[in-house]
Amino acid sequence: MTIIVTTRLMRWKKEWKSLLYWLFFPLIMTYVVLQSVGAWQAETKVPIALVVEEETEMVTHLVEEIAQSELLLIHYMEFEEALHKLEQHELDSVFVIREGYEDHILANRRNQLIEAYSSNRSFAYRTVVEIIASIAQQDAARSKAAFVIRQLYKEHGMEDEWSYSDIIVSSQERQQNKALLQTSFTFYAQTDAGEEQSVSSLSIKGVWSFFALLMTFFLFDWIVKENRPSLRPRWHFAQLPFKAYAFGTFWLYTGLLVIVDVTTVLLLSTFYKESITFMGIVSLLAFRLTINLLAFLLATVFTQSFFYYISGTAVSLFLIVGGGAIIPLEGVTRKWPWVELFSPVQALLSETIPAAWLIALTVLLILWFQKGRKSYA
Amino acid sequence: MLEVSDLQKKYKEKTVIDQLSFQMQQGEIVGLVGENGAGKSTLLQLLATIMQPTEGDIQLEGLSYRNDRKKIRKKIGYVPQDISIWEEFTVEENMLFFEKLSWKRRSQEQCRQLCLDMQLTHWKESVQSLSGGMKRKLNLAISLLHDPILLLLDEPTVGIDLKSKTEIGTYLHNLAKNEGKMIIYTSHDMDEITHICDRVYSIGKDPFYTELLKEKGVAVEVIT
Repeated sequence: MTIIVTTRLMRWKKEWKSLLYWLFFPLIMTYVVLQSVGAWQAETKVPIALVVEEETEMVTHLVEEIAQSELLLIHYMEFEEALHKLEQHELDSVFVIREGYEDHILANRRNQLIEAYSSNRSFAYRTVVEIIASIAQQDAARSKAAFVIRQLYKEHGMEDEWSYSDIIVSSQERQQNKALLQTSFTFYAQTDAGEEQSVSSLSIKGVWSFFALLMTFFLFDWIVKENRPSLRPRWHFAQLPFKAYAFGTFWLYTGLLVIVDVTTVLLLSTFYKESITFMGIVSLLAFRLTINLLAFLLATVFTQSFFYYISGTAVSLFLIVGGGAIIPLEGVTRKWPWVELFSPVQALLSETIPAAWLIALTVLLILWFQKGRKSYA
Repeated sequence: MLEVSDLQKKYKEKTVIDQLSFQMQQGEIVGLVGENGAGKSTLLQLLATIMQPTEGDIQLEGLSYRNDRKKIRKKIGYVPQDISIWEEFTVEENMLFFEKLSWKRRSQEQCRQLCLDMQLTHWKESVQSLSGGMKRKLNLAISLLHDPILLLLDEPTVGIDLKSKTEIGTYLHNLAKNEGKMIIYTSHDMDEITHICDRVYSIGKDPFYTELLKEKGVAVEVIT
């Protein structure tokens, strides 16, 4: 092992710039991509104006709900100013909550609750109307349910036990705590607390895993370079055969990359306020071992670096898409669970160990070791 | 002593070397000539233990290639046709890198002296900036790190200037005569072969090289 470490340090000393670049490539690129996507989302929000003419609790709640929509950039202004900006096409659309909104809801009148104005360039108008209408409908439905419950209490002589506002507050609490609707399609760099956090964490891992795969394939080009046909005779007369040398070097790289991976995960989790679980770390280590073995074995097939880089990049893309890092595969894997075996990325995202990959790659590694062993001896 | 007996090498159905036998003693430099594809490189690779013969045997200092390949390999220095060095390293780094992988330990000074012995003086220079001749010398120096008894050189001076060729030739001559190394040398340069080698073997069916060397007054033995 001393020979391997000494000679490797000689190579690293010569290639330290390239080595450092690739080691920090996943961390830097994950940060850049997440920040860029976040900034792009902020810039692509639809600008709308909200004209609020009533100051009741229900209206305040409605406005807060609309403001939480990540697709909308909301400006609060007077009616005339909003219409002027709409005519200037500075706004996509204008929504007016008139005096009497709460009364309409309480009276279970659900038509014409909010006025909406658009121009001939309101490209997102229909979608925004759907978003705001659904939030208002939520209030209306909740109010109607409260009235029905109150009516039932009245009929059974229990009208003093729950007031209208108690029922509304209880309903809102339940909605918040139960996360009634959840989807895998989340936005990158989302830092909200609660249930959504884990979904956001998967996205960060997904982005990181792509760059980690690329980094691994590019770093493992040493096998191609050091086993090129012109250098092979040297290994024949070395005290360590190339395969033993390569295998020892593989573990050296694995150790180095584990340190870099754990550091990267710590930095990313701190920055994006993600929690780290024990299984998360275990699956990360298993993922690292798997992709190192994959890059190692792939590199042994090639004699020219260029073709190895092309193949490594193609394999990375395949594993990322097949692993559900870009498009979630939950629907597919529910129907066909074996799809999960396609990529070790899937195992990383679901915090499991890619056992099938590890077994298959270990078998291939043993076969690689055995191949040509007799003729060498 | 090196003794080759009834050596045969087949690639599938094609016989490249057939019934080849010869002997050589310590301190001898033997030239190997023949047209392209005659089997010169194949013979060197068989002698270098890189390939296994289909039939026949080779013995080096009483050790058989059939049973003692690992021991024999330590006694062989092989200089391939292609230059097998790290282009991005300096001469020093190349020597030290391959010294670490070598069977024999040598100090930095000994490595440097090895280079100086063959007039390779650019110790701290990057290989990329060296001339073809200097690269060939480094290629040879690395193959000598473990102090082999048998040195196999596959066209070691191809494409280099006359001065470097002469320096390499002089070095090899001294190596054989002063240190008793056995050297087998392939080349297409008949002047070089005539100048360096004690004996010449011709390999292949084309009599061109045999006749050319006979015209120069060199004794050539056809071995296959």
